[in-house]
Amino acid sequence: MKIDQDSIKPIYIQIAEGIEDDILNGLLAVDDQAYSQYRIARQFNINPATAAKGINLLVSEGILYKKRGLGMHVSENALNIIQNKRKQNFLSSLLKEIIHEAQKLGISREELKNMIDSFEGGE
Amino acid sequence: MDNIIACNQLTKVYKDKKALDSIDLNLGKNKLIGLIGRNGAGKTTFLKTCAGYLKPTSGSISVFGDKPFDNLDVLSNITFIDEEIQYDESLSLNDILSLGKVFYRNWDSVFADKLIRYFNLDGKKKYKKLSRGMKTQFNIIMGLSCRTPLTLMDEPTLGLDVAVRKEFYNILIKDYMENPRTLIISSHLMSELENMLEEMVLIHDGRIVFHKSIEELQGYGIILNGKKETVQSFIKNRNVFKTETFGESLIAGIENNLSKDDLNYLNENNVDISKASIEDIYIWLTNNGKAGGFDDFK
Repeated sequence: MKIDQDSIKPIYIQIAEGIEDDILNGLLAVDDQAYSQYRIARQFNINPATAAKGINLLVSEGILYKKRGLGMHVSENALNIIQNKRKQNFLSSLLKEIIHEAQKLGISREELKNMIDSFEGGE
Repeated sequence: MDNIIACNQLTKVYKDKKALDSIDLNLGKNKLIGLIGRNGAGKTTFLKTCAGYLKPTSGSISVFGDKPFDNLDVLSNITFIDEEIQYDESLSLNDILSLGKVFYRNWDSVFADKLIRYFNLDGKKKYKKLSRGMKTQFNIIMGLSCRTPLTLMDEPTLGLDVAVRKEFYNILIKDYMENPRTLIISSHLMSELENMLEEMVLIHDGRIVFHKSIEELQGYGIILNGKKETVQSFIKNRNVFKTETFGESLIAGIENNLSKDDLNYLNENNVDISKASIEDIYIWLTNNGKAGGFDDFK
């Protein structure tokens, strides 16, 4: 997890996405205890209320759940929920950006598709 | 929400200058609040008025529901630290710490001793013999160990190198979480502090320019950078803070109230969008032809 001071994204969103990334990358598994608001506040020197806001966002989306007296834990469906959410974002912004950049560079749709097909790495 | 500080048309006039001009401001309980403003803006006067060192010329201020000036009940719940603190020349650090224990009900000796060791200060040394940075460190120790419900710190990091400042921030945030109280910190190093704070107050020419949550401020302004004509027509009828031309492009700082359509339009027209930092906003809002400048040394 990291905080980018220059990002347009509010800090609490960055916190939430940082936790999501750790879930996507397998650093946090189902039922694992997620980082506490205090842990996050100290690590990044941010106000605990901001950290709490990021965590609560994930709770409201069903990605984290609260265990009484034991803090926040990763929900069973966390991975699914995050993937669905990120797919939306991928379509609405990342893909758009790629296509837009391709246009600027004079790369045709056909060429772009070929580039994706022949791209090494990933799967 | 409980307010710890309530100001109503608070005004403080020195001989020929209004240092505080009709301030209406309420500050809540258990918050970390930043106070910013240019030199001579009125920050120190405001903090000293909260701390009961200064009597308002007109209007009113109440702290914990009472007038702070010359009021011992209120004063025992407030700590004010700044660079000007004077101690009797004969006093060692240990002497001063034991005075703190006498005066402040919630004084935390264990914490104070730990900090003295952490900052490698020699308790037997006389305060007046300390270097500037060491004095600042000691003042921080005093300010935090008092554990008063209201702690006012005027430029607490003056003279500290970046490593010690980071240590201070880390200690501050941990201590604040373990012992919630209201801390008001004035600083010129906003970007270092801002994420730790909940709210920020900007004073300019003795008036409150804004009092907002950090989150609101961090999203308050954006900077557009694109083709002159495109940006120019886009920012018409918007709240523009600053414009600057660079070759054929125009860079404009504006209030951030863009819709999704706006964003799409800007993206499609190759206008780059970046975040305006709180420092940018601060400079935009206080740059009324005045020279800004040197840190608050007096």
